[in-house]
Amino acid sequence: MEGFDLLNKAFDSRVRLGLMSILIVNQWVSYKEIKNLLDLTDGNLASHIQALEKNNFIEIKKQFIGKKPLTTYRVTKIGENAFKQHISGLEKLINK
Amino acid sequence: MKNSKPENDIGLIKDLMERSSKFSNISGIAVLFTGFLALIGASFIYFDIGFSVSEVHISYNQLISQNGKPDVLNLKLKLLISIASLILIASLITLYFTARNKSGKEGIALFNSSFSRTLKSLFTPLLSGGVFCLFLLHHQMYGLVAPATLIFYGLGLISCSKFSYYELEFLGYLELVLGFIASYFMGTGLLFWIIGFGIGHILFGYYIHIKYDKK
Repeated sequence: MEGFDLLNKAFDSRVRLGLMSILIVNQWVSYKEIKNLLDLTDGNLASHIQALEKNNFIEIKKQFIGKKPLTTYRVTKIGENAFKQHISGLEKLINK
Repeated sequence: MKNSKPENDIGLIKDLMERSSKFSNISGIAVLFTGFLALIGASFIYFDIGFSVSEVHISYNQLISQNGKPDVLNLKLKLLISIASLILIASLITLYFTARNKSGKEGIALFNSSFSRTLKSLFTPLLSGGVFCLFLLHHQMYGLVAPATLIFYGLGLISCSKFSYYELEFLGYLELVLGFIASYFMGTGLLFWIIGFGIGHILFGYYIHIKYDKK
């Protein structure tokens, strides 16, 4: 079926799809912020982040604000393109 | 969680894009409070309360038409500007601390990109308005100052509503219309100020509190 070929397996999970949606419209989002937006527990989110990082879809920045560690995430160019393609796949499926 | 329907996925994407990119840490109660501050401050001037300091009562109308003793007019003008500035500063401080508190509870950094976008889009028209009002004061066009603050504030709200609560747009248009009416009926500026900044914020703050904060 047309459209299915554009879908990306990496975005099969709704958590990963949601995570990408957040990162597409924001620069450097913190772990805590993502967790709250997606309403998730720690362990759950971490594995999805790892999966996306393995695909080089997102990049990670670790820094310290005072004494507190702060981890933030940003989407890469590869991730952005993959996500756009995935969305056009979804659109084709809907518009049939 | 597995993929179900493409429609649901698109819905999820849209929802998260919107929620994550909008600044929604303004506290409704804080907005309501700033409305009260404006209401009290503006009524104070409009109804000429507490001006016995000058021993001569001067109404807002006399002030903007420059009808009266110059030194008394000057004193009242200074008082008016001081009160207005105090209200503005007190409101900004209240909003800042409640927003910090709210974002702290939700574990979100206050100074994220949606916050800076909101601030920028609000303050560009607002500061332009402020500078313009200084020129109005300089040319002694006192009657247009209050309407001008309403107009520029309205423009600021309309432009920042894209990055924050979309309802801010309605409040913006309200301020804009009030500002235009007040410009036509010169001398009624403060009265519209009471409606726009006072009652407008009280109603808006209450609405935000009921709709978003209670959840």
